[in-house]
Amino acid sequence: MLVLWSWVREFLPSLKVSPEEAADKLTMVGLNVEEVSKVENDWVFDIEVTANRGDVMSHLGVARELMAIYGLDSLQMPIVIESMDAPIDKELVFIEDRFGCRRYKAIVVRDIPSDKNCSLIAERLEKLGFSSVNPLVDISNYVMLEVGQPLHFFDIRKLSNEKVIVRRAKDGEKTVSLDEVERELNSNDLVIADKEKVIAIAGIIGSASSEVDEETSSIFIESAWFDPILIRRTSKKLNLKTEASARFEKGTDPAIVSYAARRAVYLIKKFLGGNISRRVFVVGENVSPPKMIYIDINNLNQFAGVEIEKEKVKTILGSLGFEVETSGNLLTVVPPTYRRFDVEEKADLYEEILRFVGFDNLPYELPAFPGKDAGDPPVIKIRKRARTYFKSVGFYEAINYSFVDPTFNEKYISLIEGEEVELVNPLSNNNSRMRKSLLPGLLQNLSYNVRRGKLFGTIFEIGNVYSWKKSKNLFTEVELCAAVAGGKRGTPWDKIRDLDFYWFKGVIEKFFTDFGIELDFEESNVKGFRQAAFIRIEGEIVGVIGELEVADKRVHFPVWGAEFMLQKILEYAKQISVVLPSKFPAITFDYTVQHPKGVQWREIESVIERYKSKYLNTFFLYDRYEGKGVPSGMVNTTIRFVYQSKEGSLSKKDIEELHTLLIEKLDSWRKV
Amino acid sequence: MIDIAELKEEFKRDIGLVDSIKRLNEVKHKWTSKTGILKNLSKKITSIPLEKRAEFGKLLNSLRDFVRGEIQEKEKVLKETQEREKIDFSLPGRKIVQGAIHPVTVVIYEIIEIFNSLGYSVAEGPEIEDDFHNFEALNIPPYHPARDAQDTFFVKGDRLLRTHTSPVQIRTMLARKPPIRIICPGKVYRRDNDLRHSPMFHQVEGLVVDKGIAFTHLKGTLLYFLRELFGKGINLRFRPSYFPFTEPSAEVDISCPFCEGSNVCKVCGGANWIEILGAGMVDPRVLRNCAINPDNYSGFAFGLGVDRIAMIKYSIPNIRILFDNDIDVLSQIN
Repeated sequence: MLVLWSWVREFLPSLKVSPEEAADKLTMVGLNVEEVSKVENDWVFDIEVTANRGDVMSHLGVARELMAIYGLDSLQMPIVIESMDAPIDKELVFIEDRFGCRRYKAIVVRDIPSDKNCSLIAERLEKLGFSSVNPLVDISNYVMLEVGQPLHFFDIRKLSNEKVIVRRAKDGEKTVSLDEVERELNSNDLVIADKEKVIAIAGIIGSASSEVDEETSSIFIESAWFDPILIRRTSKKLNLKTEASARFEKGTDPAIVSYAARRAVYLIKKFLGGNISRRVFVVGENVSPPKMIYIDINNLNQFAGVEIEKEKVKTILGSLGFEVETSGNLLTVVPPTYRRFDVEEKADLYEEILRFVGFDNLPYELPAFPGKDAGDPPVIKIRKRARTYFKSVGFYEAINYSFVDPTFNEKYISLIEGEEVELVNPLSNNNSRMRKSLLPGLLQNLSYNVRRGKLFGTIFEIGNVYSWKKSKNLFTEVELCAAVAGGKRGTPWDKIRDLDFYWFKGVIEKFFTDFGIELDFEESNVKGFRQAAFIRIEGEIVGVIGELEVADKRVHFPVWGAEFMLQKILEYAKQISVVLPSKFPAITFDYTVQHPKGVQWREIESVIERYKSKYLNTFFLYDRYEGKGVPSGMVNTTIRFVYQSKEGSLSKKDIEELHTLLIEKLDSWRKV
Repeated sequence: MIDIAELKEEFKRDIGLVDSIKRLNEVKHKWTSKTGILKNLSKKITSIPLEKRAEFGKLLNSLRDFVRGEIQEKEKVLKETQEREKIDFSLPGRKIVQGAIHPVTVVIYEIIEIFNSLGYSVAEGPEIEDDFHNFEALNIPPYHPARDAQDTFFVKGDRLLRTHTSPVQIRTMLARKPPIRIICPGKVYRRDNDLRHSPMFHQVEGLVVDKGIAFTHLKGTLLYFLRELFGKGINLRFRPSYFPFTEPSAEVDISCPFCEGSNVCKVCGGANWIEILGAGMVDPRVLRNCAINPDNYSGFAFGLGVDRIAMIKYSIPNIRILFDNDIDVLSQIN
């Protein structure tokens, strides 16, 4: 909101401070002055008005705050028309919705010459960013900016009769607003109407049909109090926010309704001329009266954390227009009419007191808490370990939007059941679904990096996926950890190049074994993967791993992907207990089995498990080789066998017999 | 009589043990210097009977040739080895494989750590929320103007994406009695998309509810927290503001940790103050909505946008960079 310094000063002729100082002080009581700029010989303040302070949306409102800041005695209020000798005409206004409209002041002014103008008003409006329309419209805007009461002027010629009705719109009733947009209304909307038609959407915008123009000579002035919620509801529904609605929706001062109309008449007569013909002030239901609020100085002091003297409290509240009566430590406070919407109870008064004591004048005190709160949820630790782990093995953490393109959910597997969650009002279609897998997002990140010249990608993410079970209207969020990798990393010199699948599998496996969890991999057809296996723990599917389908042709290398449920680690994690190594020396044999490529490692493992000697401590894949020297279709698999006993040193004789048998069995593939 | 053959064996033993130039020089000194064994032998030739002198001389010459030859050979081998194993300290070290944690996460962890040390616990809640937890319980009834500041994504089936992590505070207060000391990190969503706003961003909110919690406690806690995060040298400024769920409410600024009011400072633009978080005393209406009696308990709450802090900390000019997940950017975070 823009405010003109010279205009504010008219309310406070005795105030002698620089605009910069005033701006600082206003900021420090909560009227955040974002900018002070010089316009000709005046200053314009740009003030950020918070949603609770409808009362400061005028020069009067800003002046009131300054009055309190500088402890001034009174405000110089603008001049209004003194003698209103025109007759009262109760027929002028009929309030049908007495809840929606609770005060309505109408004044009819005739014989306004159309050849006059008021450049002072137009100049001020223009400095505040309002373009001057015509003298009458300018005056209505001027009064609103001056005292905060939005006014509306109707051209009497354009009304079907000289009587306006405040009522709810009929369902489907239409009107063309001043902005030349046709708007359809319903019974939730409050309107101003004549006998035949809607002439304004109450508190928001007038209709084009009754608009004041250059030839207007007789006007019907409306100054009213409308229910804030009704105004806001219609404004939201129509997606139409105006200077008027911004004020009404926050609650205007019911005490200024009549004053503002008389101010407008004063300005019209002064600058343009005209005669008051008729007038009326109609009241609907009561605007809830300001209520009494009680505060105890001791409670206030405890709340503030410091002692604030009673006299100081009285001074602050008094300067803000609150009525205060004291009885010992107890204060009975009544807010002024313009503060009844945001000051309703003790805490609201504490705020008024503290903001004028100055938040910055209160001391800092770190509360001494005994002990700890309930403790972090256990998943926090798992998450942190996952991040540290993936970082340590060369992965970069991504954070992607939770909403994705619809095709993402269609093309890729989801580890969670239920339908996808759809946004009703997405920013765009390609951000319209809540993700069901992290993999498509990571794949997109990988493409992004490849397009920018990266020759590899190693990216992970930890985040939620979302689903909805229609039958129960149940929304589920499951936290996943996912990783993708591929390409050639570093240079030959770096010796960290190969990001092949078995490296990737090792990365995933090691993360789990650190929690004492062993994984099983079950080959399967999985949506979004070229080849894939489900990851199982003790039979339960907890994730998926494999080679991803990649649509982006620029990604010229295979991309490995894995995704698993983080929570499952909590469920299956085991305390690791150390196995003490034998004190006796081990005997190591390497043996190379030649077998057809189709023979899986698990088959070799099971042969070894079946024929191994009791002294076989461990065995593992030492290396694999295919190529020169190995018949095509065959693979050389070298296995390292480690024999060791906890009871004593082994001799070759202890193991020879069974080892030879094992080798024989393993060699049976060679003969195939 | 001097046994040349034995001396030769001795030399062979000596040279056999040589594994460095230093050791070789010792051997050279022992055998071939002016005071060395070979020189001594030459001097002794006069004490040899004439008839045996010629033979002795021959033997001595052959020993001398052998010793010199061996030493030369050894020297050559040693120099070659040294050449081969010489370290070029200017060659680049091979790259160490290490990824990175996202800057937003790094900041969240820093904040959690600070508050853990003050005895706070982390609390979390769903991102798909309902109107009650996200708005109504927080004193934002339908058609409240404060809803404008939080343009909301709605989800089929009358849910919404939470616009702040405050619903976690409501859920915690409904689930257990004070004393409560929590921080709530998490993703939040608002229908905004420009250079400074992302439709998804991260917040950390804090909540304390207990007997006798005062405004000065809020101030003290935030001073401690922000000095831990931005350095001991910063100062705070509390500007009165408005949030529906706190009363009084404040915007908290920190003095710019990057400049001393320099006009060219990219972070504060010379203002010297950076708006960093919103805070206040928990509104009694919110406590009542959670069945906590405001006559017995009071509390404070605060909330901050993590993404903005990460941007300030790491000089990231545009919020979208945070969600590009560019490895060349991420790899600079440690």
